Amino acid sequence: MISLANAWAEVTEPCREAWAVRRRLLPVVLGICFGTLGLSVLLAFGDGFAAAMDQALQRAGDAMLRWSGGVTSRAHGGQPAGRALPLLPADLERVAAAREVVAASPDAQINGRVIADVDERSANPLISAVGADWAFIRGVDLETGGRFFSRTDEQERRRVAVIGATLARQLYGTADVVGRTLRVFDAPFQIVGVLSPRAQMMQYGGDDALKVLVPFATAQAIRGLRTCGYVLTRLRDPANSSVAVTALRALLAARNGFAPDDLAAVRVVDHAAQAGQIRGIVLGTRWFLAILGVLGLLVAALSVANMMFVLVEERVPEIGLRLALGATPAQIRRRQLLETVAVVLLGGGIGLLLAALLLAALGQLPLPADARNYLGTPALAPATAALIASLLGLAAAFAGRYPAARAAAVMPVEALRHD
Amino acid sequence: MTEPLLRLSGVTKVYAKDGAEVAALAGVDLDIDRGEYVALTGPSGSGKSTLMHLLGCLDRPTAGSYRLAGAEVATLSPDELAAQRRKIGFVFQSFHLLPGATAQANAALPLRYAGVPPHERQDRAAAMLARVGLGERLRHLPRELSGGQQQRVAIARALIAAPELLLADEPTGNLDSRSGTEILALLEELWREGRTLVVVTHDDRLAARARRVIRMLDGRIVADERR
Ligand SMILES: Nc1ncnc2c1ncn2[C@@H]1O[C@H](COP(=O)(O)OP(=O)(O)O)[C@@H](O)[C@H]1O
Ligand SMILES: [Mg+2]
Repeated sequence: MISLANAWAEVTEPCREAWAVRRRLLPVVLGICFGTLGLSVLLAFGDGFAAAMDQALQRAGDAMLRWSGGVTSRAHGGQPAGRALPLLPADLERVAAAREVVAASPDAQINGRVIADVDERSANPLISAVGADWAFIRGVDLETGGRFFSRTDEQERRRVAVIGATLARQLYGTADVVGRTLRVFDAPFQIVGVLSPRAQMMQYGGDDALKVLVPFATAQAIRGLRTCGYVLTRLRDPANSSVAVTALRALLAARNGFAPDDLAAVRVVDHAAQAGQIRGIVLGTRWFLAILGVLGLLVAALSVANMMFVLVEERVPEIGLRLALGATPAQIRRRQLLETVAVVLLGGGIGLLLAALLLAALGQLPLPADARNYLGTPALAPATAALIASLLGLAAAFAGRYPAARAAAVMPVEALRHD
Repeated sequence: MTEPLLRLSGVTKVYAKDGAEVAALAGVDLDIDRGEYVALTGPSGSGKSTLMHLLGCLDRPTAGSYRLAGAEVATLSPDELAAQRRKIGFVFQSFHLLPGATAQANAALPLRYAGVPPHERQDRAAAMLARVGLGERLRHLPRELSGGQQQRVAIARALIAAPELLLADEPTGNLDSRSGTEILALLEELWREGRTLVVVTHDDRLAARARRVIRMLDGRIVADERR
């Protein structure tokens, strides 16, 4: 009870003393407040941007290699240079069976006319003939209510199609699309799914949102396709994509009789490596933002330390008197430290609160969908808030330590100078 | 024979002033026993305040030894030094009250550092202020009190933790002669209760009331008379 009352007095008395100098402390609180606000918003933008980029990269096939046929650049194994080597279903099978690959799909792109069953609306999209694993390899998802086509669809050469969201809106407006009939290759196809319209990087053959996807086997049956167009592979270990590229190239070289180091014979775009590079840039950007924010907070902490030094100097007579009356230097130090910590935590708390409000307000702003897709929705993640809180604690300790040490080092006689 | 309460040997205090060194104390040897009543006199600038600050553990000597209650003050840790200061009641010439605190809060301040719980501090401060004749002024701020009343608050503060040693540096210097006499009478009353009292004064009439009068000049003790 007694120690509780003492502890209470240890807290309330400094508060009253701090209140007495509130005009001096206000700019300090505001400095920390705006420092925290800036850091929070910067980090939140970094978080939102990174999350959005991560999503966009996943939908770009961040574990994907995209192969296409080429022309041999030199003679090899008795075959002349200049041999064209389109990728064939047999190549696809070899690649799909490789240890490095978890899934593979052809992607043959055909320009064609499609006609909707509403008002005879038509378009000339890119029609991609792909395998059932295409969505998995590319990393895209579908709008709710739809599905991608299945292996059974392929085996039975069903006339089913999945279309991009933008094309769906062009052809059908706001009406439901799944279940409708779309004429492709002059034959009726049933639409079974719509690709969800979210941001996507590393496009090939145009925006997926404008494409029509049909089963490769069905397209083969109707159009007599012989080549795969692209061969897409999803890697087991995207972090080591260059090793997989070498291994798969050797496989294709052996089957087609070209030199494994003849890079023109078969070409590859390494989505996995590009995604890794872009993620590296995003990470660098976040570090840059974080360092800017921390520097800002450091400036604020320095100004707190400075103001606290001024306050301690002003209080030297009072501190000397307290020491003369029996206060220990440790008590004086603790009290001074408490004041700084209170100032920093008050400013920081208000700053965090303002940041949360500001970010919530930003979330309500009618931004264009594309901007939101790439910038993400900045929000304070709990981990980021915890990071900021611990930075504030550090700043408080840093800003409080030296003024408190000065206060504790006062000689009582300094209180009596003007005797 | 036991050691006296205070023992100074060869104490000097040198200040650097405008590049030159001023010896405020130039070799002081002094013993004061428990229960003594000492008046310290001498012209302005002779080193009386400097000596009092050293006696009160408020400053450090440049050289020499100061033993307080058997302990060498220079070797005390900060916490031990604070504990020693709590056993000393210091009355300053210019009061040194906290301007924002009431008479009661000012008087109670040493109890806070002595670890006394808040409600008990308030009670004891009220009782002590009543004893110095300010029982009706508990809630007044220093600026609402006369000089004599402020000095009484300072005395109440000096006495509240029941110190063994009372040091008063010109406690009557800023007061008219009637308040001065009253204040001195109050200090003497406390001395009669068994405390050790050292008072600095210019006033020979007041000095004459002490049992021992020490005269200082240029940082040295030039006379030490007992009666
Ligand atoms: N803090 C200080 N800095 C420099 N000189 C000082 C300081 N305090 C006292 N002195 C000098 O020391 C001498 C003694 O001062 P003091 O002890 O206050 O004398 P008294 O109290 O007898 O008037 C004086 O010359 C004074 O100017
Ligand atoms: Mg003096």
